[in-house]
Amino acid sequence: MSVKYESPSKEVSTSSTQGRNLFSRKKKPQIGLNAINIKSARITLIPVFVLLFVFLALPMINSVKLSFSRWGGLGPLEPVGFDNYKFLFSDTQMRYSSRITIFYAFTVAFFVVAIGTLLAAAVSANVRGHKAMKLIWFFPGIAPPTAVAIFWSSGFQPESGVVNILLGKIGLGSDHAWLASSDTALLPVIFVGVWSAVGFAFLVILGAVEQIPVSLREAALVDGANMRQQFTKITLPLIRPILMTIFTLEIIWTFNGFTVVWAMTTGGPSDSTSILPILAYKEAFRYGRFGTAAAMAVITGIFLMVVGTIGIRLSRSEQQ
Amino acid sequence: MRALINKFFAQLGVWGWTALVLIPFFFIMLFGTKDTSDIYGRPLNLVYKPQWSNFSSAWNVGGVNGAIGHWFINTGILVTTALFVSLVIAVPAAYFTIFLPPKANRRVMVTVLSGTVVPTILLVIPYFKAYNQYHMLNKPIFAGLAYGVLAIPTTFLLMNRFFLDFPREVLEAGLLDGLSNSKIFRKLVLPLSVGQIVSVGILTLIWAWGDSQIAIVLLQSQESQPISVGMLSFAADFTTNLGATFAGLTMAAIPPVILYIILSKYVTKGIALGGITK
Repeated sequence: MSVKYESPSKEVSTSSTQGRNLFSRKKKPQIGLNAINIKSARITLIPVFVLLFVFLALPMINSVKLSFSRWGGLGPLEPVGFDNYKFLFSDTQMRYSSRITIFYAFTVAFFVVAIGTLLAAAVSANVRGHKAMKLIWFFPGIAPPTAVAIFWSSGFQPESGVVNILLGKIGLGSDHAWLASSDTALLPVIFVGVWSAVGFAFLVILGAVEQIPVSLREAALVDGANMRQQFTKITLPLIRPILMTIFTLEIIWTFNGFTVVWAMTTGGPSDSTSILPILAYKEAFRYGRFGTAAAMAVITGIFLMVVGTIGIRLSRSEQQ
Repeated sequence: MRALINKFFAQLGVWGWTALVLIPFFFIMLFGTKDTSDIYGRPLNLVYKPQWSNFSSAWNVGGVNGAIGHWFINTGILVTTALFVSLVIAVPAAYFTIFLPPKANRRVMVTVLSGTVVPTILLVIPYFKAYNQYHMLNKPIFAGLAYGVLAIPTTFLLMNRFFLDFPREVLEAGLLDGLSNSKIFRKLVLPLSVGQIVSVGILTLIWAWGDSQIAIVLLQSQESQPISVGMLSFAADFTTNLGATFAGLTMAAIPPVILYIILSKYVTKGIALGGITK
């Protein structure tokens, strides 16, 4: 089987050169290289697949099984059929949580991609200080989410919080108690979600922008386009596939995002910021209703897989 | 003129964002060294007597001697295990997979890729159940094992992509020199891949260091918690001692940032290479 086999880099990667393939075919040492290594490949892949099966596939199957059962944390599972799902579909908190989770995920993802794109455009236009900014803008992505979330939740407190102090200094009042009210508690959480995720999106988008040949952008300038036109007519269309990908990923990550919300509000006040991962966590580990929690997890998982598939399809079709 | 205005707004925008990014880090360090009554009374005052005792109060949070120290050790054990598992399992497999026929290689990649999209929420309850059953709860090393396995797909994909572009001439030269296949991997390939391995490892490190969703379930007892979970009880313990709270936040948030500044070359590279698959 190794005789038929050419260089894999010819098939899969784009950076291999013709000369390299010619060279290796003439000498033919790769027959020996491949034959023995295929055996090594099989051996080294075994632990990969075993571990992924034990830590990913099995738990997923168990979650589905659990979602059709009642279980309080001890003893055997008690099968209950579709009861957990029936309960969740008529539960007002579940409906509310699904709604705010979707709202939260899409809002954060939208602002992250929008701000990340604007910052990448500014840096690729060589604004002053862009080297240092590139470094600094990833700070929020590197600091532990728990720590920054605790900082911001203290910052949003009325009077003593940094945000309120600064707003007070510029005359906008220092007594905003956003986190204390069910109507407004989600806003600071969205802000922190955006704040901490922009750095990563920015770096990925910048990477895509920098891959656009300089000659293309220069040609546009020669043709009389200004900076803004160059951005909207050349850069933006070319990076749209990557924007779609990162938008999808941000939705998935924010949807899953437990730490920021938990550290800021633990889902409160009165469950107004309980996105689905938090609702499921509380259901299982606070109230000991593991069956309903698993059903929530399964519903969330199905939703995310649908979003992921649509997102990947869209970004693929844009690439073609 | 128009271009000048555009440029002005671009400059204003990037400075504004930079300020917004730096505000928390500045205030965490400022308040961490201030007396609590000072934080309430004159929060923005930059001339003050540093209150270093905040750090010792924070260090012994919850009346437990050296509580933060324990959390750091637990995080250290967890992150080291995760890095060890993900790299030792995924890197050799990612290398030897490149010798499979392209079709088989792609099939392996797609299978592994599907592992990156499983939502954590689907995993934590079964993890809790299994860990409880096998007496693995409240042990950072076993929590690290879970993090390590969950990091395998990303590690594998990024390393596989890297090895596919690895110059074949180097491998063939090794073969002509009479090196065995495993020696070629250890003596030739690994030393030339250090940069890539560091980049990929840092992605795992950032994630395992900061995540709390798995750790909060698998490490429930106070003395087994990593810093990401321990901090959660922190704010509640110190509502009256803001200075100590911020001193604690300083200890948790500033070391990763400094580490990042030192290693930023690798971090940026890791993300540019496709860290988006995490």
